[in-house]
Amino acid sequence: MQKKSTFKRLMQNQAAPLVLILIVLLIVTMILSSGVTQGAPVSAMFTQGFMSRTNLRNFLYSIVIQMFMACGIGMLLISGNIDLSVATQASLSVMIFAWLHQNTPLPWIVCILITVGVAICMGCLSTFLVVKLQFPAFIATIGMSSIYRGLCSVMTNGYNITISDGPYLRTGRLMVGGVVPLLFIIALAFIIVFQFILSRTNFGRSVFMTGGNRAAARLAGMNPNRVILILFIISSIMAAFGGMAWVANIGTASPTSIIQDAPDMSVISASILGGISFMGGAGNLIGSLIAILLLNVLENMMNVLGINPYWIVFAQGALLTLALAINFVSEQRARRKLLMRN
Amino acid sequence: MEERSLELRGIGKSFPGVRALDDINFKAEGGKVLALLGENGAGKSTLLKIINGDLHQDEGTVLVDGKEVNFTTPQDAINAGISIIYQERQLLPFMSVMENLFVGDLPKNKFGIIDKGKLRSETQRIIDDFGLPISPDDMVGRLNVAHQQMIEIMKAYRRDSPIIAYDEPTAPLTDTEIEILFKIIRKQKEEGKVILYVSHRLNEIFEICDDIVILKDGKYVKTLHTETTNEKELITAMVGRDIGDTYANLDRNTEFGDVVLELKDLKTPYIHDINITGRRGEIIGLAGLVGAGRTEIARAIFGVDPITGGQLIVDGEEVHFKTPHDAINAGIALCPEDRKYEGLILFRSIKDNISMPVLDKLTFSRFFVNFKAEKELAEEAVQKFDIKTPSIDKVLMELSGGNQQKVILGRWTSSKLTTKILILDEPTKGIDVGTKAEIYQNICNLAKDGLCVILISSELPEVINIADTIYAIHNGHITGTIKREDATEENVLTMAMLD
Repeated sequence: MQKKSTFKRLMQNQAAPLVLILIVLLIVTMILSSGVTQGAPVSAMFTQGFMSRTNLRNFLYSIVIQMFMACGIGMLLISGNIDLSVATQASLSVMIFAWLHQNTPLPWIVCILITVGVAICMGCLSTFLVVKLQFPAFIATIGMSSIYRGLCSVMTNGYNITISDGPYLRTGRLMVGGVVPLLFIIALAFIIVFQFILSRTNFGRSVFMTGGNRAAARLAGMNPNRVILILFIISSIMAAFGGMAWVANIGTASPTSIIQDAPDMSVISASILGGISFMGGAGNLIGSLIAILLLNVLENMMNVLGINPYWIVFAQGALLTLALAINFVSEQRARRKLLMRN
Repeated sequence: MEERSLELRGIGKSFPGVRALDDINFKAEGGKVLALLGENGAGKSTLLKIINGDLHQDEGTVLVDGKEVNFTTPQDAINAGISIIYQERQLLPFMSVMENLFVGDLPKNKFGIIDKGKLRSETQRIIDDFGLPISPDDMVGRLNVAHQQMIEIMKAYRRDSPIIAYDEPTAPLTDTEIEILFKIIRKQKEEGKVILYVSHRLNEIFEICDDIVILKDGKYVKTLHTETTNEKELITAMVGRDIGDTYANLDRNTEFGDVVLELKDLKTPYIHDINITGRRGEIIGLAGLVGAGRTEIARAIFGVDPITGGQLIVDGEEVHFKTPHDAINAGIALCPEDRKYEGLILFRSIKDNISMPVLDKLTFSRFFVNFKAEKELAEEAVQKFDIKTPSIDKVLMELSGGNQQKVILGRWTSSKLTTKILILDEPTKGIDVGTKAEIYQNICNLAKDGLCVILISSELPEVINIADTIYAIHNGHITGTIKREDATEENVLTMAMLD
């Protein structure tokens, strides 16, 4: 076979157009936000506006929760499942964590571990509904989402819990090189590790096979039910991590703020945009990461341009619909090709 | 009443790689019941689909009452007075009997609201005609399958279509309902309707039909009259085909080893008292019509369906598989009938599909995939079965059916597995003739390697010419066993068709 040039191969990668759009958006945002258009020197675009320390730090902080969630949601989507309760799980985890942190003498690490334990239970519960009772994942997790949302408010009667200053907040607010939050690096590490697991391990392979054809995977001796269990548990733990990272930044646990922010919806959009098939069986997490950056830079840019925040929500919804439509059409085309063949 | 008729002239239909129908000519007249008879794959279903507008013929014409018609949707056919009762019931399970009967054509009162009173009384009238113990308000999903099938028949009866086709209507029915159905068919016949009747049950055909059109491999063979023919003549007409020397040239295995598989009075909800013994190197054929229970025997052995009685013995030890995984560990492999939906992951590569059952044996420290070993395993299979592909990274979707089947064979006979018993369910379905011969030789080679092969096929010549021992299956029972030397299409088909 002929060896293609590096550039060509890069362009054939599914993520290539996303990276290009991201770079363009980034440059536009940098220019618009730094006041270059109003006469500031060109060098300002690397130090002012979007690229200013404060904004960059806030930007990176704001996507940490989405990055954590992208791991779990992305792998579930690849396996042909979906979890629509991720945001409420994060919210409930945060409330439990904050309550433990404020009302018990337990060290913060233990509080985290207990919260993770609760998350594992939530993951098992989703699996029970989806695998044992054979609910469609969509319905099961919407139902659970409502239950968790209720529990969040019940816990404190709707009040927020403020996290007192201490080692938890200090650790959560550590910066690497003064700009990059430690939590961002942890989230990035999770994405890379999970991507490695997906592409290099036999567990990762079985995730793709389960999503590609669950019946065939079972008849070939794989255990799709176990795969789904593990993925729901990972998804719940990642939701809890994301929630706790959010609280470390904000300093207050609220029963509603994460749910209102709906990071899970952004993540599902990003996953599809990043090339994960909504029907399962294909995709990767690096694409999700790039798409998360893209969606959030877009939001940042619209903020800079002073666009009404409601329109930002609108734009993100439009993007998701577009991504789904493209995904669906290409999927249909592949299917038709398949039918034509035999 | 004017004379009704349905006539087919030179109907032909091709699917990619398959000539499904070729120059079909016959005429069904009003006041007569015409049977369509043929083996699996003879083209009966395709023909019905053309008659009702689901498919369009490539050549030829369909004439209703002597006038040419061109249907593009099933609705066109219904409007032209054609009703087909399908094997698959098309009912709304959560709706009542009366709503199902009148769906799409509900009686309305002058305000445009559904006239429940009229709906109920008209439904009751139909139920009375049939004499069934059901009420117009019963929810269809709660009725038993026989009654559900009768609702399907009532739908066509209600439309009072002049042309009615029954596709295997009696499969889910008990004797009581069959009697009612025949009473209805006789009534429709007296009214001068055109009736097509598709069935595998010869005794029914002799009871209710006037003429029998025999189809074979998509071609029209002949028309027989029930008064002047007999079962033997029918079966000969269905079978009579040339068998090339594909089979004569096979390099077969002749030495059988120890018994590796025994089924003793095996039962599942779908099969009853199945006794089969398989030795190393032996090819066992399961012959029977679609739905006879052949696939269900495979599923029982492979741990998919729960075993409710009898014993399954592998290598002298009784086994109880909970999942296919257990069966694979015990040395059993299944190439399922529907290779696209149950066998393969079409959007993944050859390599990925072959390594599936042994992935945990191809790892470093039990977790990381050893890509080199995986590649070697896939290349081994490509070579062994001569899979035609430029690369093992090719996605399955892009391979031909024959090569897809070879990938599955490669998966189950890889050196990392200790497969002793290989079950092949319809291994040549949708595969072209040339590749078929290759697959036959592959099967014989596997037997030579000491595998016990269970071959399930709807193509009778395939089973009786490749298998060493043939079991005829009918209604979930074994109805006969025969050695290859003694097997003919006639005697196997007789065992598989008659009660």
